Formats: sequence, C-alpha cells, structure tokens
Amino acid sequence: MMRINPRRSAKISAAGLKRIVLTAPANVETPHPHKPLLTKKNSKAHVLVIAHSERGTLNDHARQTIAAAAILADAETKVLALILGELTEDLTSAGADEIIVLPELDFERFQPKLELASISAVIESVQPMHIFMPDNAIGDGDLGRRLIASQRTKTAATQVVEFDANHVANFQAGGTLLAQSALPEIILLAPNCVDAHLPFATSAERSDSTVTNQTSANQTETSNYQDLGLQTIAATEIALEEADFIVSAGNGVQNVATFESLAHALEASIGASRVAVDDGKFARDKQIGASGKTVSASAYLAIGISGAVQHLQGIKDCRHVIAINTDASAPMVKRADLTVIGDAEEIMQTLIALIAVAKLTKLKVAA
Amino acid sequence: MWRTGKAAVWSWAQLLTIPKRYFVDLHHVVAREPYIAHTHVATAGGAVAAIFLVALNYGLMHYSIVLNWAIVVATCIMFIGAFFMWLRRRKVPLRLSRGAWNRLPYSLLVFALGLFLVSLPVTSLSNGIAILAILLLLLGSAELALGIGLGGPMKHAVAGLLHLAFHPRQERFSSKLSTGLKSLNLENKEYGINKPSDFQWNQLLGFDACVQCGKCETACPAFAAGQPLNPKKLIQDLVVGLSSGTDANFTGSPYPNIPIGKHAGSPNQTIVPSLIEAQTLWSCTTCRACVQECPMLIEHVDAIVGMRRNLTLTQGGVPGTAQQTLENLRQTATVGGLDRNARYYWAIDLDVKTIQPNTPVDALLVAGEGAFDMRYQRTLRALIKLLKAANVDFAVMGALESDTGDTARRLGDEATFQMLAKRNIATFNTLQFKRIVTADPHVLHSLKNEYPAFGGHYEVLHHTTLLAQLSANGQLKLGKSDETRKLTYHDPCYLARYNNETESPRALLRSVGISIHEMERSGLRGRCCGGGGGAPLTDIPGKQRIPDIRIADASTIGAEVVAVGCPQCTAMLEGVVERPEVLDIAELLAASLENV
Amino acid sequence: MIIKRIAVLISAGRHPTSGQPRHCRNDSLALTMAVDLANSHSTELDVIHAGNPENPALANYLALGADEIKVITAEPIIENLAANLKDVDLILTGSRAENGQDSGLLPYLLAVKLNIPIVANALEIKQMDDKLEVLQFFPKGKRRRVAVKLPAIIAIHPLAFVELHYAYAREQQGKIVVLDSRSTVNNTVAENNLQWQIQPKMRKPNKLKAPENLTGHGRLLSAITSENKGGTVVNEGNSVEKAQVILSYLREHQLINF
Repeated sequence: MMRINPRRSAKISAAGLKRIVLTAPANVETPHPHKPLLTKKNSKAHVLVIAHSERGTLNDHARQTIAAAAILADAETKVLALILGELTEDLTSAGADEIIVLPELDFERFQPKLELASISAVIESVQPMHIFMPDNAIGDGDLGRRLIASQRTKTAATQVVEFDANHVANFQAGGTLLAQSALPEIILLAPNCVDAHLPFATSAERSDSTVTNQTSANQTETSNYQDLGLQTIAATEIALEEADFIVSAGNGVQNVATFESLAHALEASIGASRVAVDDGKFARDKQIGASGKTVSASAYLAIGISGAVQHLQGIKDCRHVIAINTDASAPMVKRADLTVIGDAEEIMQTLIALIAVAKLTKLKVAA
Repeated sequence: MWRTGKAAVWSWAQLLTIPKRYFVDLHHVVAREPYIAHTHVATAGGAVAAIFLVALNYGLMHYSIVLNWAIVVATCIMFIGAFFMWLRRRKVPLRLSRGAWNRLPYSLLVFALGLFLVSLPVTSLSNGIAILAILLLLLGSAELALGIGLGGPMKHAVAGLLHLAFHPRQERFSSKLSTGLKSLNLENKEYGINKPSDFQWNQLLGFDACVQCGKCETACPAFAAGQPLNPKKLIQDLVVGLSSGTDANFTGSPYPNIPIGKHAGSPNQTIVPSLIEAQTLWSCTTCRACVQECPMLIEHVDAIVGMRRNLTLTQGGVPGTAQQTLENLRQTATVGGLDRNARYYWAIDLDVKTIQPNTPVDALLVAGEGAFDMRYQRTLRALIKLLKAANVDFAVMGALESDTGDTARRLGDEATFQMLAKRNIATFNTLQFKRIVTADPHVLHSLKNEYPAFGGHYEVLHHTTLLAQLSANGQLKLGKSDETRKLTYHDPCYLARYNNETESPRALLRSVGISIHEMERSGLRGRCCGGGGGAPLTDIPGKQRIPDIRIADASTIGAEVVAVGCPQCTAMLEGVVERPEVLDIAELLAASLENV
Repeated sequence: MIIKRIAVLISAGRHPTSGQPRHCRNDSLALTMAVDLANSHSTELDVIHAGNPENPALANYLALGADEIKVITAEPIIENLAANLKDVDLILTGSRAENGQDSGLLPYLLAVKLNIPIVANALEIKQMDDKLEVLQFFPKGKRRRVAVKLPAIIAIHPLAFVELHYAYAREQQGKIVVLDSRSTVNNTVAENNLQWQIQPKMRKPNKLKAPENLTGHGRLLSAITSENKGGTVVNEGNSVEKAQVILSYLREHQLINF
C-alpha cells in the first residue's frame, strides 16, 4: 500500500481549488494566472484577422473572429491581428499572437481607398493563408468586400455562419438554403458563429509595421469620397429595430412620466408591450412583440411586463434582459438575466436618483 | 346631371316599383324613429295630396268646391306636420344639418298657409290677405321648385324616389341580402373610383337623395372614435364633387379633425385628396352601420371601397401595416406572412381529419387566419369538441387552405382578392363536401356572398348557425351552462348586418340556460368592434379606440362576460385592458357539454 | 453635373416562408428611390435585371414603379452588366439579394469593373452639384454623411426610409424587354469562385468552439454551470439596493458608461 504525502507540491487550478500534482516537477512557473500560454516561436505561416476597433476596444464580433482564427491556426501558424483604430485593451485572451495597430484608420472616418491600400500592403508582406474579418456594419463588412473585389484571384465567402478547418457554410437564397464549401482564403464571418472563449492565452505582441506606415504616409484620401462626418441620433429617435438600449413599459407602469425620465436618464429608446399601447399610454410604433416590432438590443429593461409569448418573441434577439416585476412567477422572469421583484414606480424613482448621482460623480472625476 | 356618371343596367319599368319600395322598404327604416315618421307622413303626405289636388282641380279645370275643401284639409295636415318639424328644429340634434335645412320648416309652413288661404272658398277675402296669401304660396313653392332644381333640401323628394326605383342594389327590395361588394373587371382596366364621374349614375342619384338626417353619423364607429370620417359628410362631399363646388356650405358635423371649407371637387377631378382625404376613406371599418341606418338606402360602403380600390390599385396607397399585409397575402396566402402548412398544427392532438380529394365529407371546416392565433385556437378547439359531440362528419382544409382574401378586398386590393378567390375556388373544386362551416364571419361573408361572382357556389354556415341547427334537431345535446355571470352578446357586423344572422347565437345561449342582457346597440344595429375593413391595419388615429367604446357599452349594462362569434371581435375586444371576459359562443357551449 | 441616366439593378427574390418568387425588398427600396430621383430630375431611368426574363418576381417590380425592365440573359453576369452600364451616371441597387448566393458582393465587383466608387449601406441620397450626398447606416443610431463623386454605385441599406407602393395597374402597364442575349465580353475568368454544395434542408449551423482538455473537476464544473441557466432573481432588500443591483449589472456588462 502506497501513501501519498499530503504536503506534496500542488497548484491552484483554474477554478481556484488546490490540486495535487502527481507527476509534474515541483516548480512550475505559470506565466498566466489561469490559462496556459501558447507561444509560437517557429511560425512558418500566418492567418490574418482584420477588424475595426470601437473606442479603443474590440466588440464581441471582432473578438469572435480572432478566436476563430486562433482555433483554426495550428502550432506553427501565427494569428496576426490587424486592428484599424486605437487599441487600448489587452488581446492575450482573444487569441492573437501578434498585433498591428493602425490608429489613423478608425471606423469613424470614411477612407476606403487608404484602408484598402494599407491592408493590401500587410497582406502583400505576410502572405497569410487565410484572412478573417467580421462581417459587420461598422466598416469591416464594407472593407472586406472591397478587398474581395480587388483581389479577384482569391477565393472568398461572406456572411459565414459555420466553419471549421475543412469547410465554411452560409445561408443562401434568402436564408432558405445552407450552402457549404471548402475553406476559402477570405472569410467574412457573421456574428455569434464562434465561441470567443479560449482555453489558452496568447502573447499578443505588438509590432510596428513599417510597411503600413509607409503606405499610409504616401496615400491621401482625396479622390472620390468625401467624409462629411459621423453623427449620432438621439436615443429617443432611433427606430426600435436598431436601438441598442431599450427601456420597455408594460401594464405595471402606472406613471408614464417617471418611466420616460428613466429612459432619458439611461439614454435609452422607449418600447412598450401591447397592453400598454392599447391602453393609449404609448404610440403604436412603440409596440414590441409578434404583432409589433422585433428588437435586438444589447440591453432590454422590461418594467412591469408579464411577458406574454408574443412579447417574448419580439425580444428573442436581445442580449441582456433585465426585468422589474411584482410577480416572480411571470414568464418574463424566466426569460430575464436579472429580475428585481418590487414596486416599479419606487425602483424607477430610485434608479433615476442613482443615475443622476453617478453621472455627477463621473463629471467631477473628469473635471 | 347624374348622366355624368357611368352607365348601369336599368329600365323605365323600374319606376313602377317606387310605391311598394317607398311604403314598405323605406318605411321599415324610417319607422325606427316614430316621431319623424309621423311628421314626414303628415308633411309629405299633405303636400303631395295638396299639390295633386291643385293639379286636378285647376290643371284639369274642374274648379270643384269639394276638391277645394280637400285641398284645405291637405294643407292643414301639411301645416301640422311642418309645425312639428319646426318644433323639433328648435333644438337641433347634433347629427342634423343646419343651414338650408333649418329654413325648411318655415318654407313648408308658408307654403301650407299660402295654399290654405288661397283655397279657402271664401270669396270675400280682402285684397290684402289675398296678396299675402299668393306671396306666401310663391315663397313656399320656390322652396319646392328651386330646391328640387338647384339642389336645395327638397331635392331629396325627387332624387329619393328615383333612387328607390334605380337603386344600384335592386336585390335589397326583394327581401334578399345584398352585402357582397361588386367585383371589378380588371381585364377591362376597371380600377375603382378616381373622380365623381366614375360612379354609376344611379349611385350619384343615391348621393343626391341624402336628407342629411345624420343617422349614419350617429351609427358610425369611426366618427364616434374621433377618426376623420363622417359618412354623411362623405356623401355630401360627393354631391359637391358632382356639382362642382366646395364643402364650405356644409352645415353638419365635420370630419373629426378636418376643418370645413378647405376641400373642393368637380365631376372630372380626382377625388383624393382635393375633395376627400385618404385617411377619411381608410378610417372606415366597413361595418355597414351607416347603410343599415340610412332612410334613403344609400350605399356608403360601396362608395368608400370604390374609392379605396382606385388608391390601392393605381397608386399602392394603402397606409400603415396594410401594405405589408397585402404583400403577405400575395406571397404566402396568409394575412400574417405565415406558413400555410402550420395553420392546423393546434389540431394535431384532436384527431381531426384533413380533407383529401375523392374522400367526401359532410362539412368542411375553414378556420381562416384566426387558426394562427393562439387565442382563437381555443375557440376552434371548443368548436371541434362540439362537432364531435354531434357526430358531424367533418374535415379541415389543412395546407390546402388559402386566405379568402376578405381583408384584401376591403382594403381595395381587388386584384389580390380575385387571385385568392380563384385559387380557393379551384381548390374547392377538387374536394367533395356538402357544406362549409367557419367560425370566422369574414370567411363566411366572402365565401357565401362574394365567391358566387367567380363561380364558387357553396352552402356556407357560421358555426353558430350549424350548431343551432344541430341543437334544434337533437343531434347536438347540450347541457346546462354553469355560467352565472351577467352576460351580453356582441353581434359581429359580418354575421349580423352582412349575413342577417342574429338569432342562432342567442338561441344557442338560451338553450344552455344563459340569459342575455342586450346592450343598447345589438342585433342588426350592433356597434362594430373596430376590427373590420382592415381598419386595425390602416390604424388611422382618433381620440379613442373603437373597441374601448364597445367595451364601454358592455360595462354600462354591467356585463361580466361578452359572448362573441368572430376572431376579429375577440382580438379587438380582448385588447381592451379593463374589460369583462370575452368568450366565444363555442367555448360557452363546449363547457356545457360536461353537464349533459 | 446633371444626372442624365440612372440605372437600378434588381434581382429576383423569394419569400422565406412560402418560397414564392417575389421582388427582393432591398432592391425594391433602391427602385423606389431611383424612381423618385428620376421623377424629380426628369432623368432617364433603366431598370435592369440579369437573369431569367420569365421569372414571375419581375412583375412585382413593375407594380412597384418600374415602367420597363430590361433583362440581360448573357453570362458572365458582372461583365455583361458592366458593358450595359458604361454611360450611366448613377447605379442603385439593394445591399444584398434574396436569391442566389446573396453575398452582397455584386456592387463591389461592378465598381471595380467600371472603376467607379461605391458607397454601401445608404439610407438616403440627394444630389449636390456633381456629387451625391449619401447618408450611411451605422449600428446603434450612428449615421455618416458621405459625398461621392459621380458616376458611382450606391447600395441601399434595408432600413432606408422608403415606403413601397405596390399598384396592380402599373403591373399591367409595365413591360419586360430582353436585351441581346449574346455576350459582349470574352472575359470568362471565374473569380472569387468557390464550389458551393447546397443543402435544401435547414439545420442550425454549428458554433465553433475551442477544444478544451479539462480535468474531471473542470468538466463537472462546466456541466453544472451550464449557459442556459435562468436569470438571477432579486427579492430581498429595499428599493435602493434593488436599483443598485440593476445599475451594477449594467456596469458589469458595459451597457452604460457612468
């Protein structure tokens, strides 16, 4: 019978538990606190990911695209992320081995010729096996198509909803057919077809690309396009279908004025359930649900909405659903990521007050 | 004047029908308000008799004293009638027009008095009185003559009588229902009414017959809800359009939110928007309450749909979500753009037959668009339970069913309606069934009243009609209902006014021991729920919603349950937040099966 | 510069549920915008379809305002389209088709072929001297104004504020004309080409996930903390605490920036 020494070398696992290491040497240096670091010293090839940043960070869609490249890349293939626009965040968990940042090519400016020339220069210099881009509306979908149209010998697929090392698939014929093909060279990826969570970390080293610096210096966007500026529509005027933050009222909202000031404080668009609309509290075009509008906001704050099936159909694409409700057994509570049970009016009033304080504090800090 | 309109089939012999139609059909409508009926009999009867007698006595040169006395008596009667007319005019109800119509009692009184004095067989009249009498008579006659010739109030006498003879829906007078819309010949590029002269001449005649009594206005659900429609004003606008003028002289209630005096038209000028705004036309729920009320038997709904047709077919001008709905109908043959195969998914666990070619059934159940609605599926499940309890051999249409096109037709999209009608008829032709049953009065109406024009002749029954028959002949044994709450029944327009079915639902409720507390407006004069004619799709804003008004009707009498028989009514009435419970007749009956 | 000729490129679509041929909504928006622009500037308007002239979907475009549709049947499509668009000042089309590959590439390929600029995701267009001012769609309520030199291709975004008006009478009046079916170009190099295998049956696409070598404990953990957990329900506390929970959640997920 063998007895194991209880004071043997041990390490803290990802879940924070102490695990005895049976065979490993006593001193293991883990450079990353949670995930093993994947280093690719002897890379022979590249896959290239191109994406615009927003306010210095990459959105989920862009991160999914980098993750996709990282999952497909083998031990000898480096993932090179070419970020257009400022980058202030760390990309080690995103899957990039190497990063080139071109801050002057941010999405807020329309300079398709310059962007195309810059990315073409990078492509020319690293000769990637595959190019991945998020197929989005903040410039990557447009730039990706310009790239495909200019590199006409490369195979390409857009709006890819499924792929692995061997194939890609997308919907064709108006979403009625699923078409598959071998992995092409340029891949424009639809959102949410990749799990951005990776079990490993990467080095994400920044390298200054001399190539691109040269091209951007030599090119100016005089030609065909003239950017007249980006504007943001007031949240209250955004069509519900494209609103990113919606505060929605149901039968449980008695005081429309409080509700509206909450929406104003959160800079959110206003929606309503059918009951609230029928009640005359809101205009018909605010109605969300099967017989109204289908919305896909990042945040959906449902106040006093019990959550009829038709209504839940209308919010199926919303990312974070938060509910304020008096009844904990309402269907909305099952759908919501967070539910607060209580009096809607009281909680709305309190929220408005807290938001005012938070905004004031932020203002003071900034000043 | 009416000759500017389009030709219509007619013959001189129709003139002979006037007396019967006048005394029978028209007085059915007028007699609903006895005061006016009696006044009219006295005034008009007196006047007609007096004029006839004058013609007889002086025209044919009889100069008989007896006839003269008869004239005196006739003028007395007319004077009394006109006096009561004046009495009412002292406090004019809002629905009545003022202006020239306020003058009318005086001119009629003057006429009566004048003729009375002239005819008095007293030779010793002083000169002064004689001159006065003749002046009065002239003044009064002026109203009658000029009124008829130049479009004054008395125009209604001639136009009204001629309208009775040449009414565009002759069937109305042979105690048959005539509620189906007339179809357009699309191959001949008939695209509805663009300008006043596009109406048939007998329709124009009908508009001239209008006495501006405003009964349509009182009955109109859209007007009550503050939507920009007033059927009376609409007819008067068309009169103005025919005679080239503006609406500035209109003295009745305006379209809500549209001021008077800004619109004008002429026979060959496009109606929308210079004479009538599009939103006025799109406010109509096609409930036919105005037609039901009209003492001159004017067909308002035909006029409105006629003008809608032109907007839709030539400009694609339907507002709101109606555009999407019509596209759905064209592309999926469903109102909601849904999968036709899914229409009867809710019936999968009920073991219901789906009809197959070469397999005859007694009854074919056509559920309509309501079958996609989770609420109405409850009604349909109850109906199936009842049909099974009565051992009816029935089947549903399954994926073969296309929308009847009812909504498209009401919205003026005759092309889509005809496409769907022809498609459905072709499908029906491949199937063998004795009759069609439906729980949707809109399906009932289009299949029964409008498909025959395209060669589809079927026996179509509303579920309440069939269930009442089955219950009466003992095939369906109903128990006593447990329902003890105060209950009222809301008549769907397309069942009551469009199909004259008001008794079966009531008989069924009585047979299970439910007593019905009637609302003020019920039966053929029931108030619309707001769901017809595509009105929920065009969604023209008003002050309040029509279903709220209807629920208020029910709440006024303290009803706790509103029984219904239509998916549209169910959806509209259930959309009201604070309301009695809304239950279909089928649901109430199915519950009673437990107590057999 | 005055716009003398406008061309609209339309494709055949089909209803996603019934599969019935119909107009492609995005292209219809482009058509309606083009008709409005052509009417207000009395400009010549070409409505062009590359494909089968018998397609019943084309009748929809007549009803939606096209007086005449010119159909190009010759292949390859891009080259033959380009040959017919040489002296056009403005080309409008939808940003994505509903049929075929609907890759959204066609306007870009045409722009390269014709060597003219392209602006995509257009919500509104208006003419400013020799340029066209385009309002471009960006998510989250952002919009960009871009002036583009003509001739140019503009791809219309699905959210463009245009009301479609379907009129049966126009469908009856309109004409469909087939242009010379012989190809005017010799270049038949297949470009950006992939061999697609079509699956008529719908299935949900598989999500790509990194393979993970988890320990037994890790697997257990991931099994019990599954993603489709119900949400958190907060019952306790006063309204300040409850409001604070909401605010913290919003901050945690970067949904607010204060």
